[in-house]
Parts: sequence; structure tokens; C-alpha cells
Amino acid sequence: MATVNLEHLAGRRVLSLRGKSVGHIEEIRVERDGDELLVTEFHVGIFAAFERLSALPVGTEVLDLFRLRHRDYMYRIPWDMLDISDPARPRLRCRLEQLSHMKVGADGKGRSPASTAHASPGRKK
Amino acid sequence: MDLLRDLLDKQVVDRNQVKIGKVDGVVAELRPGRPPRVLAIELGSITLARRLGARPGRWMAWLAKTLGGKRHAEPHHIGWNKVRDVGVDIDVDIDVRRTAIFDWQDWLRDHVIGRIPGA
Amino acid sequence: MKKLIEISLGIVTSVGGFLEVGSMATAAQAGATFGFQLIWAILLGTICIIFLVEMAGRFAAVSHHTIIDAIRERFGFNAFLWPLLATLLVNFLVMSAEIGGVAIAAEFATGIGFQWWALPVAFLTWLLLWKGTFGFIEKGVAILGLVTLCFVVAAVMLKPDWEAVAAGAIPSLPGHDAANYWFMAVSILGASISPYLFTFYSSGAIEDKWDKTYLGANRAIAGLGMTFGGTISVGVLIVAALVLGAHGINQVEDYHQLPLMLIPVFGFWGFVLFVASLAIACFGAALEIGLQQAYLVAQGFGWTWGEDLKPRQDPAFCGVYTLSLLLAAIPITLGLDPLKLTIFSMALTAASLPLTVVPFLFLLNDERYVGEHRNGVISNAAVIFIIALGFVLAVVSIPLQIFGGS
Repeated sequence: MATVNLEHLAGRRVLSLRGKSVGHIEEIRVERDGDELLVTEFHVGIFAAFERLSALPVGTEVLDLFRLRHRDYMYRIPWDMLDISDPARPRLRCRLEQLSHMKVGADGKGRSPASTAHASPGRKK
Repeated sequence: MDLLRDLLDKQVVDRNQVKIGKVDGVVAELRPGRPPRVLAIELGSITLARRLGARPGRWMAWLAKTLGGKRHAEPHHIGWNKVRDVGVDIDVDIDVRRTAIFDWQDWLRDHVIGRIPGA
Repeated sequence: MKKLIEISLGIVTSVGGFLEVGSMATAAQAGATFGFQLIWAILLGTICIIFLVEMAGRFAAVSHHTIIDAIRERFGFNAFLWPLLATLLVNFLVMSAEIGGVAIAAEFATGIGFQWWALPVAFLTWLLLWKGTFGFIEKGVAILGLVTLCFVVAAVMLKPDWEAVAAGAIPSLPGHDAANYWFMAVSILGASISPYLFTFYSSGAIEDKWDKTYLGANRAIAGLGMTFGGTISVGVLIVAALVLGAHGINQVEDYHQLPLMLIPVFGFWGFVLFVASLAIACFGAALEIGLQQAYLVAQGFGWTWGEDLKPRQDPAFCGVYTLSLLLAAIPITLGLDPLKLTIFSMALTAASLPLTVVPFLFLLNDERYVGEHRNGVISNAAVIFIIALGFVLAVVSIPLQIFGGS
């Protein structure tokens, strides 16, 4: 059984197929499916070090003030589009062009139709 | 649920409300063609050391095995099916005394702290 | 009625806990060298600590987590490690200085060199932590700490020029020795805004089982307690200025000069009061820092902790404070000058402020922890100011130590 420690993914740089930096893993979305807990999405943002600070209004305002965070958007990458077998080096499985469908604004709202690659069973719409 | 924000590094509390430790790691199973499945939460110094780097991890694992024997060569796991509630604390349905998690504290109690009068 | 008693007790505890070797030494040195000019530094430091202590208390009362718990949980282990190590180191030095303070007091009282007292003092501190409960330690330190009010009494009895005192409350530029002046200002700020004060306060709130009903009491205790504590510091400064400075002792180089401060006012009893104040203030601080080291490690790693528990129930927690006290006694036993160690550790405390205060900005605005009791505009502004101040102090403290320190 291939296992991986998910905490090693926090803040890691995500590289594209060609080795170009896409951003850093800010959060890992999981959802319950019956008794199981499944990984559904990876949230990839621009800045690494402050991924856990980005949830707060005041915190983000302060970071913006000091220009430590230029976040216009974040990618929500479905589980099957990211290869995490080496958690220190997560790699994108899809092409860069497909990423633009996964962009969401900093307010969390999508800019374009969400990717249709959500294959996790039992996910309610 | 957001894994890094809501689960990782949170306080773990057992069936009897005893503080066990923090969620030092989360183990997931990689399955081809299916979403990764969370298997267990991990606790212990080995897990923490690995978060700092591969070498600290190896060193800590060596130390744990040398001091504690084979039983302590790997981090402690608490299966996801034992997790009852994810809130302010993570409530798990186990009795910590039945695990090896407190072995080192028990050793400390029996061989050092407990030997000092007034403990 | 019960709340009122608790508030009064809390205020008294804060008073007794505020003054320790750092605030005494820096205030005395400042008074001797610069007269009333550095009163503003004590005022500024006191105002900052009021805000931080109130926030620490509010956070614990509402979220039922301590600040340390929350730093690890919110920012992750890797980010937590740095504040942890920095704070452990700074605490170690300060605890060493406090043990040194009690040791010096013992030397004044008995004539036996302070080096011999370091281990006995550490042992006594340990014994109280080992056998005592949180409430007992809190109350004991509080009641005994009231002896430090003698400095306020002395300051009033010396009839200072109150206008000059008030003028000192406003920042001014020094007429001489600028580097030394600013170094002292930095040290005073480090002595007033001690991280162990507010982190201990939040652990204490959990030990005392505070909840949301204590928010008002928390504000009263933080505000009044720290204010009274700051007043005592100002008292020390005034006495030093009028007794030491006026008699030509402009540099407090040697701790033997310190007990002279209260003799003109109280005669022989001045000596006794000084020794008692120094011993009790430092002893109380050593107890608090010892506990704080244990809280830091136990809360960071999620172990069972609590001063009310018997050591068998939380062996790791007790192991930490036992080891800390033992190690902290070593520098003093080896003869390190307690006064120099104190001033140095105050400057280092000031330099480490950013690491320990930045988390406040995030934690006190996080609804998941404090709900509707988030910081208002004023509190947030205060935190941002303190962080900025912390960065300034961090940058200037080491150069000033080199150029302006004794």
C-alpha cells in the first residue's frame, strides 16, 4: 500500500509538467464519504510561507500592507490533477492551460466554470 | 474540512478526556484512479522530526528505537475510524493507556519523577 | 461579591508579579544615571503590557486555549518552533537573573556570597512548584509581593519635584551619553513587556478556569494590576534618582550600591525592606518563569499539564521545570554577575518581542477562537504598534548593547 504523510505537502511548491512553478500548497480539502475521509482538492496559492495565515481578514490586510502577499487568485486543483507520491515535490498532472479553469478569486468565488474532474463518489451537489 | 487548518497540529484528547498530544501528522493511502484516503493521524517525535527534514527524522527514529525498542521505531497511529469529533479538540475513541504513546512519560514517572519524594 | 474578591486578588497578583529583578535593576540604573528622564519608557512599557495581558486573558477565557496552544495549532509546528526556541532561551536567561536576584538578596542579608545561594534558591523554587498548587503560589506571591510598595512610599516621602517627575513622563532627548540612554530605554521596555508575563497570564487563566464571565474581571486585572506594577517601577526610579543620582552615584555598576536606596528614608529598615523586596519579587518571578517554561513545552507538544496536578500525573510537565531550574542556577553558581546578566537579558527580551507578539495579531482576530470577542480597532492598533516597536528594538538592541551597555 502506497502511503504518504500529508503534512509534508504544506507550503510545498507545485511544479508543472515542464518544471515551472505554479504556486504553493496552501490547504488540502478533504470530505467524508461514509466512514472514509477522502482528499478532494488542493488549494494552491502564490505565496508559501503564509498559507496558514491567509484565512483571516486582519491578517491578510496586514500582509497586503507589507506586500508579503500578492493574492489575486488561488487554484483549486482536483485530487487527480496533482501527483503527490513524493510529497516534497508535488507535480501537476494536467497542462498549464487547463489550470485557468481552476482559478478562483481571493474571495473564494470561481471565475470560470469549475473543473469537471470531480470524481469523488457520493459528493453532493 | 480543511486538513491543514482544522486537523493538523490540533490537540488530541482520548476517551477519558486525557490530553494525548497534538496531531503531528496525517497518513493517507494513495490509490490509482481514486482519491487519496486518509488512514490515520500520527503522533510522536519521529513525525515531528520528519517535518523538519529527512535527516532529523532518521536521527529521531534511530533514537526512539535505541531507547524504546522496536515498538517505538515507527510513529504512533490512530486510525481515522477512531476519530469521533473534529472540533476545538480532536476526540478519539481510544484509551491512551492501552497504547504506547505515553510509554516515555510512564518511564519518566517510574524512574525519575516518581522516585522524588512528594510526587 | 466573589468576583470582586477575585478581581482584587488578580490585581494584587499582577502587582506582585510585575516587579522583578529586571524592572528593579533597569529602573534603578535609569534613575541614577538620567534622573526622571526615562519615566516615559516605563509608562510606554506599562501601557503595552496592559494591552497584551488583557488580550492574553480574553483569548484564554473565550477559547479555553492558551496562547501557546493556539500558536502551534494555528501556525503549524514548523512555524511554532522558532518562537518556542527563542522564548525558551530568553526565559532561561531571565530565570537565571531572577535566581541571581534572590541570591544577591541572600548575600546582603547574610554576607555569604551569592554564588553559594544559587542552588539553594533554585531548590526552594522547585520545592514550591513540586508541592504547591497554582492558587497557593498565585496568592502567596501576591500577598508577599506587596512589600514592594515600600518603594512607592519611599518615593513619596522623599518629596520629589512632582513637576519634574511629570516632565519625565514625556519622552525627551538625553543631555549626555545618548547611546547609554537609549540602551536603558530599550532595557526598560524589555523589562516591562516580558513575553513570559502575558503567556503566563493566559496559562493562569486556564488554571483558574476562567470563562466568558471573567472578561470584565480580566480587563480590570490587566489594567489596574499592570498600572500599579508600573507605578512601583516608577517609584524605584524616583528613589534611585533622588538617593543614588543626587549623591553622585551616576552609574549603578555594582549591585552592592542598590540597597543604599532605601536607607535615607527608612534607616536600617530601609535595608531590610530592600532585601525583602528584592528577594520576594525575584522569587515570585522565578516561580512564574519556571512554570512558564513547563507550560511552553507541554502545551506546544500537547502533553498533560497543570500545576494543580500531582507530579505523577504530569511527569513531563514537571520534568521540564525541574530541568529548567537546575540549568538556570548554573550561570549564577559559576559567578556570572547577576546585574550584568539582568540588563543583558532585558535587552534580549526586547529583541525577541516580534516573534512572540505577531501571533496576537492573528489569534485575537480569529473568530474560531475568540468568536465575537475579537479585537476592536484600538486593540489591533496597539498590537501593530507593539510589533513595530518590537522590530525597532530588535534591530537596535544589539548595537546599543555594544556601544551603550555597561
